Amino acid sequence: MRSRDCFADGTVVISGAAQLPMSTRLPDYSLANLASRVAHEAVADAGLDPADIESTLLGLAPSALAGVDRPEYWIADGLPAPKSLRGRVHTAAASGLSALRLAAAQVAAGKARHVLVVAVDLADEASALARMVWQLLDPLTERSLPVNGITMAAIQATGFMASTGCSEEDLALVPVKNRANGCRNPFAQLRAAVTVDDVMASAVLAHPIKLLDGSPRTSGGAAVVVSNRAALPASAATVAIAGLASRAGTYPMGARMVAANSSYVDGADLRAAAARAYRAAGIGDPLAELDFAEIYASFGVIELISAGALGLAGSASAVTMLREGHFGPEGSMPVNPSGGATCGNPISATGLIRVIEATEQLRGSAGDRQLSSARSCVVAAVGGAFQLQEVAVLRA
Amino acid sequence: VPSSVHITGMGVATASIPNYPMEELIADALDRALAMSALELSALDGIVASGNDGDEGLLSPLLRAEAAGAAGREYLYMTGGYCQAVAAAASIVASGLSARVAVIGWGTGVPVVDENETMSADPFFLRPVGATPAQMRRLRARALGYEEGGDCEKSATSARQDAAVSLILASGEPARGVVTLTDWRSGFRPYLPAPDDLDPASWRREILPQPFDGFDLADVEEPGLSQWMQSAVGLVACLSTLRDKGAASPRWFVEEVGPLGQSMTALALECVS
Repeated sequence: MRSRDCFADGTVVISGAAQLPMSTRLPDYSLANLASRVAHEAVADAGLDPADIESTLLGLAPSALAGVDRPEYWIADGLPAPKSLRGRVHTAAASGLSALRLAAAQVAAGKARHVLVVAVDLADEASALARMVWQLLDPLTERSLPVNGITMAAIQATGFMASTGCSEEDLALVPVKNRANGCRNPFAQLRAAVTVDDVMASAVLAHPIKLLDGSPRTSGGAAVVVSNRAALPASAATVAIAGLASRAGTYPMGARMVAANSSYVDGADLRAAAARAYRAAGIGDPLAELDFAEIYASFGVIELISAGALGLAGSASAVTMLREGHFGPEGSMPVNPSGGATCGNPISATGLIRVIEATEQLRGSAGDRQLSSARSCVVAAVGGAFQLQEVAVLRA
Repeated sequence: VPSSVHITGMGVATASIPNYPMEELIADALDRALAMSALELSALDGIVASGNDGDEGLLSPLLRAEAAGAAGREYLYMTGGYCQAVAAAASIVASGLSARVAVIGWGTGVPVVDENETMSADPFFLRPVGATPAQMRRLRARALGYEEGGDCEKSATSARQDAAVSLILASGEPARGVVTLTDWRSGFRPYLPAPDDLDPASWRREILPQPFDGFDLADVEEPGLSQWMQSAVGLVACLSTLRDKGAASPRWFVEEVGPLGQSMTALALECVS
């Protein structure tokens, strides 16, 4: 039996990637058109013919977002190889990265040489976003409270501030960094820099979360081709999937904010998932051995919790690393050089967009946002209210 | 990479609505599968779940995951048929990403989301004419019945029960009497099949080797369950038959799901008694 480190030999690679510039609305596209566009572009980017695709996976968050129940039946027709559709993965905002994990498993198991992963969202397709978020919650213990995506982040932020001693201004440094990065990303939805003063002066949504702390409502699409390296020409521009892991922490929020389990505030579930992915990839010291990170974080506090849990701050705190500029594009550990979800957050696709941004960096094709050193990285995504963590380690 | 994956345990739990919470059904099905495998929950390193998130008015991939034993484990949720999730789990085990995985499916007989039926139709072609999944299944059953003389009423069975199903998949050496999953294949046809391509048998011929030797849903149909859970419960019945009688050469179990049967997954099962 091959062990978890079967990904460490570079057999499973990303061979193609495509995304569209994100926007609040993409009025020229239906959900099916959007999926078709990015899927065909990713296959072309891999230098493959549609007939080469032996499996297709969709990463789609709740049906309520699409306004269509089981949207896979609608989307399939326009895909490059519709008969190869093997199913839809749904783990909320982690859907794209979860689907990538299954694609990698199919390639590693020898069930397909090339697997296409597609993730799309049209933010204005459904009017029920708030209701969908409400569905995250336990109907007996949580729904009676005024909880939504913003107030959940506020609970997380107050807990994080209490445990680390950081300030609201510290939290504001995350969107300031990310919005500056987004100015160099042609796919970003928000491409204007902001200052700490701008963030602090923006409307308080739920203390301490302010309008500019969070990600926008976004439409967008992404697609990636996962291949067996042996099935590609030697000249193909590939990125190796060196480690993968996930971990569910599905207890109610309150049960994850106590002494025995404080993963909602300290990211313990993400830390455990990362440990598995790092072990598979042979990473012992992530701060020393990785060059950058693309982390799904819909609010600044989530980026800080995640960076610490992923070991990107070493023995220092993530807040200290951020204050000292280490997480900036010129720092020792750039975090979200694309601008991250702060600059565009199509929920189904956001995890896969992190993979694509990492892939472009590792290929050296990230344009104005290209880092000076990009040979290996970690990608992470969160599903629901910190209920599922997905981690991938990628190498050039 | 191993060529096969073993099914070491299985469990089914059903209840007439609304006597039993879905979480209890899920936990019962998992407990039974673990007991048959002589395993504790701690022996599992992954959970693959199968369900339809629109049916229950919940973000069921995450809210039901705790009952499915996912906390602290690798987790994946698939929205297609149950066998599609089994195929996904088989790839995960065969790849070495996980060594022991429970595949847990659940379905409610009475979807609680009001708009679910109309949401299930293509917004451009089918929703304007009021098509729903149940109506589409009946239309197809009528067409097949007209052409083949089949039993339309049986094909149009409506849902009345909640159900949960669990299988335990594992790598390693097979023990006698354990069913081995030697292959898994899927096929999909785009949204609107041509009028002359409504017969699932034609689709089966495309994705399966010939001659076909296996079970199909007609052998194991359980009146009262949703179409969603028919294949899951049917698969367990098929596995029980194989364990009792054995089959030295693979027999295929075929699942067909989707409003128009667009998605088909086939599992090759073998058991040397």
